[in-house]
Amino acid sequence: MTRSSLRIRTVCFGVIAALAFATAVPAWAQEEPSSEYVDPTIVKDETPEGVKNLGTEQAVTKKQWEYANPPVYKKWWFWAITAVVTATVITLAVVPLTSSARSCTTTGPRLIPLNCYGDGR
Amino acid sequence: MTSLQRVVCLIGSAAALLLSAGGCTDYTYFNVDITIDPTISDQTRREVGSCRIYVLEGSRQIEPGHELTKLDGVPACKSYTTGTDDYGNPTYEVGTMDYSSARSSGTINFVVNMIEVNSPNAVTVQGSAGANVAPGQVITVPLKAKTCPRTDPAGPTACPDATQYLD
Repeated sequence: MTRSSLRIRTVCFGVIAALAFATAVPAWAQEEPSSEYVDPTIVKDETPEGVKNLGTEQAVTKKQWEYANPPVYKKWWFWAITAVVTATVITLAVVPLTSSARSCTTTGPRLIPLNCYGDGR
Repeated sequence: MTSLQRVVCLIGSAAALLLSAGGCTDYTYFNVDITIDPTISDQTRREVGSCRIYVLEGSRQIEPGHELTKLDGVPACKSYTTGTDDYGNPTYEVGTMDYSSARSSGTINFVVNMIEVNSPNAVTVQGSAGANVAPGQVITVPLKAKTCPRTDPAGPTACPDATQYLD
C-alpha cells in the first residue's frame, strides 16, 4: 500500500467515524426523553412552608446546575471513543502499514545480479 | 440496544472495515533471468550497446524504462562485451534483474530492448516474458532476447514495437 492510498484510507476512516457519531446522536434523542430544568429557588404555592422563608440563609442557598439528562459530551465514554478514534487516525497517518521490499542483494542466488526495481523500493 | 452499545458497534464496524481494506502488503519478487538467444549472430551481439527493461501489468506499462546495470552501476550491456564473460567468451548471459510487486493479483510482463551501439533508436534484439503475481513468493522468469526480423532484407533488423515504451 502506498503512502497516498494510506492517506486516502485514513481520511475515509475519519469520515466513517464522523458518520457513526452523526447517526448515533439522534438515537439518544429518541431513546431518552428530555426533562426540563426546574430552578429550585422559584417559590410556588405548593412549596413547603419552611422553604418559603427566604429571609434565612439556609433557604436562599442556590443549588448548582444539574442535568436530569446530561449532554453527550459529559459522558465519560464519549471522550474515551473520541480519544480512540483520534489516536487511530493519527497512528494510521503517521505509521505506514507496509514494510519495504527486500534489498537487491538478498533476493535469491543470482549469477550476475543486476539493479532492482519495483514497489517498496 | 443502548446508546453506548450502538456507538461501540458503529465504531467497531468502521474499524473492521478499515482493517479488512488494509491488511499487510506481501511482495511478489520476480527474478528475471535475461539471456541472449545463442542463435544470434556474433556481429549483432557485439553491436548491442545498451539494454533497457520495461515492466508492464498486462499490456500497460507501470514502470519507466531502466537501463540494465550491475549492482555497482556498470552497464550490463556494452558493445563487444554484451553476453560474454570476463575473458570475452560468449555466455549469452546478461544477468538477473529483481523486481518487486505489491499487487495481489494479475500478470507482470517484462520487455528487454537491446539497442544497437551506433544507432540509439535502433532496437535490434528484444525479448519478453511474464509471470503471474504470487504474493510472498520468489518467481524466476526466464527471458530470452532474440534478434528482431528484418523488415528490409537489405537493411538492419528492427523490432516493430520497440518505440512504444516510455523511458
